[in-house]
Amino acid sequence: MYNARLKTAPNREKRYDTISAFIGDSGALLAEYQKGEIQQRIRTFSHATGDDLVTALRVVAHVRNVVVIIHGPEGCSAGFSYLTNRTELKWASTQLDERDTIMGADEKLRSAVATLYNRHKPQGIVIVATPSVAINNDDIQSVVDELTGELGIPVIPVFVSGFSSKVGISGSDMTLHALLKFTEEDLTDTSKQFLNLISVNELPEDVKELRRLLDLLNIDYQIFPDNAELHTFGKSYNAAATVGIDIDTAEYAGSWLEKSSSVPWIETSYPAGLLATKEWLSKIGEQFGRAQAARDLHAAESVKCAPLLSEPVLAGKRVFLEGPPSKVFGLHALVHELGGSITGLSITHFDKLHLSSLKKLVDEFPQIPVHIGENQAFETINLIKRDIPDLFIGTTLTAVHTSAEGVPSISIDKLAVLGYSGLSNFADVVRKTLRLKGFISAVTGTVSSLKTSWLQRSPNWHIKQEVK
Amino acid sequence: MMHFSENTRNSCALHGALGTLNAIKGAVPVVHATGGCGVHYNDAYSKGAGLSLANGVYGRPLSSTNIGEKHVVFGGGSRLREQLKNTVKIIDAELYAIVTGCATELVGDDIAAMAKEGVDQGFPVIFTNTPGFRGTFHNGYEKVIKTLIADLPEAIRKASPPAPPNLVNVWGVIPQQDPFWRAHLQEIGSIIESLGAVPNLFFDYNQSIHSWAQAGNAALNIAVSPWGHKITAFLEQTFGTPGVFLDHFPVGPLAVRNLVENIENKLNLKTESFYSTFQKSDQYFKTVLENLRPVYFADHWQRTAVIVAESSTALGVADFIDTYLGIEIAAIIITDPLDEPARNLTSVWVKNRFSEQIPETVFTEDREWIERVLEDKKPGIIFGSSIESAISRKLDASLVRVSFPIYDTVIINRGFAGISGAVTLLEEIGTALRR
Repeated sequence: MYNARLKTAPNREKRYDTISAFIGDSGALLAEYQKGEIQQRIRTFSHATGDDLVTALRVVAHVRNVVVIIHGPEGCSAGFSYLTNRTELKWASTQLDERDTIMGADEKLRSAVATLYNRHKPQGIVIVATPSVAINNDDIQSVVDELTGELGIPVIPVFVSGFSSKVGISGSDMTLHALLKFTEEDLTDTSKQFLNLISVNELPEDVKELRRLLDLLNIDYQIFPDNAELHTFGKSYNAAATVGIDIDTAEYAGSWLEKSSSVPWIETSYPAGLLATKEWLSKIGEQFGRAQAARDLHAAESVKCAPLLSEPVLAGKRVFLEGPPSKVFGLHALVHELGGSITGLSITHFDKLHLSSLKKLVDEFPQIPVHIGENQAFETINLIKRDIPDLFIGTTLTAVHTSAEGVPSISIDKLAVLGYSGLSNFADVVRKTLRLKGFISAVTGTVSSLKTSWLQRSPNWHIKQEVK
Repeated sequence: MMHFSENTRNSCALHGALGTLNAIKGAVPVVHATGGCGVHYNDAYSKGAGLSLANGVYGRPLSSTNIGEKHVVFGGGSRLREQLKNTVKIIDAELYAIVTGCATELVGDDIAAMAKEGVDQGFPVIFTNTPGFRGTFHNGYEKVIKTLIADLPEAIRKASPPAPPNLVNVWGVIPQQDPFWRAHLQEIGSIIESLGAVPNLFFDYNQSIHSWAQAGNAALNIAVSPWGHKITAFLEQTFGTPGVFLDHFPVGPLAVRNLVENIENKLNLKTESFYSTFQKSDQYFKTVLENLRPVYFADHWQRTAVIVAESSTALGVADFIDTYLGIEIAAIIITDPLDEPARNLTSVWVKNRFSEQIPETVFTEDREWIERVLEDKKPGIIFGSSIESAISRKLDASLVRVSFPIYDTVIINRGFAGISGAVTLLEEIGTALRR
């Protein structure tokens, strides 16, 4: 699907039949995809959900030595201070007002780009579009064309709109499309000896573990877009291979580099749990002629993890999982390896990229409840209440509600799970959560704003077939 | 004129409406906007306001239409109808308030018609247009409050008890944009109670939707920031209720006494009991200062400060540290978007208050400009937000977090208003200077 001439990446629904609304069992979801009869469904009630703009901001927040301009009213960048508080990225909002929405605001944008360039002399300027400029069709492109030449640095437009896709993850593709399209190839290292590791908004602890493993394998690598400067994108065309952490955020850039420059894309598992980490290391090792070293490394690290498996913390425990699909399927692997079983899962979206993970799940649990939807707590809670688990692992949003039901809960927001140290960390957090229930006891019974009448209804009540 | 700001901190009208409605027990916003509008709000105000949500996003996920391309092209009115109809079935509330984002306003959806349909079906529904391009968080606060007062459903009015005598409405403390809003409102409420009057604070757990029905029958309105002035004037005009217009909330005994005198004058109250209580508090505060002396001298509190904050906080803190602490104020940077008359009033206040050495007064939320002033003044202590943490490290200055955004501190129930708030501020200053 790589096409650098496109203004932006096509949304996920078009590329992969991505769905964002479903409640049914695991087998039914697999059958739908295997038969190729994928149904796009909509909700007749919804909670606020992430869109392409939200995701774009989460991606660009971690790019270094650029200035980011959010071209829209001030609210579109409201959360950016929080997102960039550790990165200290320079950013600005063009603060569009009503007059700008009528008269157009390309002059404001031009002035902001020029002034911010002079203030900070960045390596590039990233312009993120917003719903207002998308609807008014503000001429961002002419500002980009004009100032790229004048300033002599890449001016990179990220054409997101807030409404172009039902799934926020489309914004990741759209942002990587822009970053790859508008950075020039860097020829300082054409040795084709290093690995591209695509990391999008991953936890620093998780990335640290993967770096440790790659260092032990003696493989050179560069990471982007997290903490990357623009020349890293330019260098990526001359790598030996590309691998991701989360296929959802990495596949678009991986395919781009494979199709444009024949850099092999290594398709592999989300490296959570022993088996998946082994696969991740093996596939990279094979690509670099380090297959035996990868096997030896896995053997050595597995020995250290052996005590976790001999007395598994989740033995006999039933867990409900919630989050982005790669993470949830990765957590499934961890729960499995630590002796637990799954009562159900909730994922933000689903598509063909996750078919093999779904198959593994169905092999173990052919008819487990599966919910698809981001931030749709009214459905998740309804579903969880039907079969109360021993442990909930998911978003903070839902953990607030599951704790009110007395369910020990873990938020995935800052939960490192990757590699061997991730397994160890996960087991430790689970052990403490299951043992120390003081807080959960104190907040059990907190009043929910969801009506009892809703909680007695079928959780899929508000999911309907989309009429085109 | 500059056409942008770095690290903006005033967000938009929709978010202001959400912050306001989420702080009202029994009210539920129904957002008609792109899905991300609600998520941006959550990112900014659950994480950026010291986690100071009320009944907010985490406990009560936002109802939102999450409009898509289809709705932008063909209109999203029917999607709003559907969302409203189902919100009343799923989320328990006494009042449902439709608020809008930029996309649905640009498309021109008929929000009033959808709200009317809800009312015709017997549901307590109001609406207000709050596109982000029509103002900041503060304007959203003002707009929703006017709507709540003017358009509160008749059924809620009828079910509400009559306003008690000497009811005093408090305006201008903006939930979440002021990360310390809970404590600030409670402290001002305590001062009003100590006079024998009844505070109407409108927000958080000890208030209800009925507080809003009583607003028009109060005996007095007090605005403790410029963002309460228009509301107070509106109520004065509409209901003939007298108003007290202040630029900032009180910090420390002297400011509390000034507030009380203002209320006394307007309400003609006999407040002898207040003064006997106040004397004890004043004495207590003197003891606190006495006990502070070793820390004060050892850590050299006599420094130069720059304040970077919303106007109400900035002036309150400036007044206090000048009155009690001997800290020199080199500049006051006001970050909320005051209009021209309010800026003039603020400048006059600063000029009158600091007649000997007038601090430079700057109105901006632009990080670069703010940092330029800070680099120029080289303060030993900065009263600001989390955004100032980088520059404070660079300048080797201590930072006291007093204003939005605060994303590296958890705030449960502390603030700087009143006498107890002043003690908290002393603790914060002392801790910052020790680090």
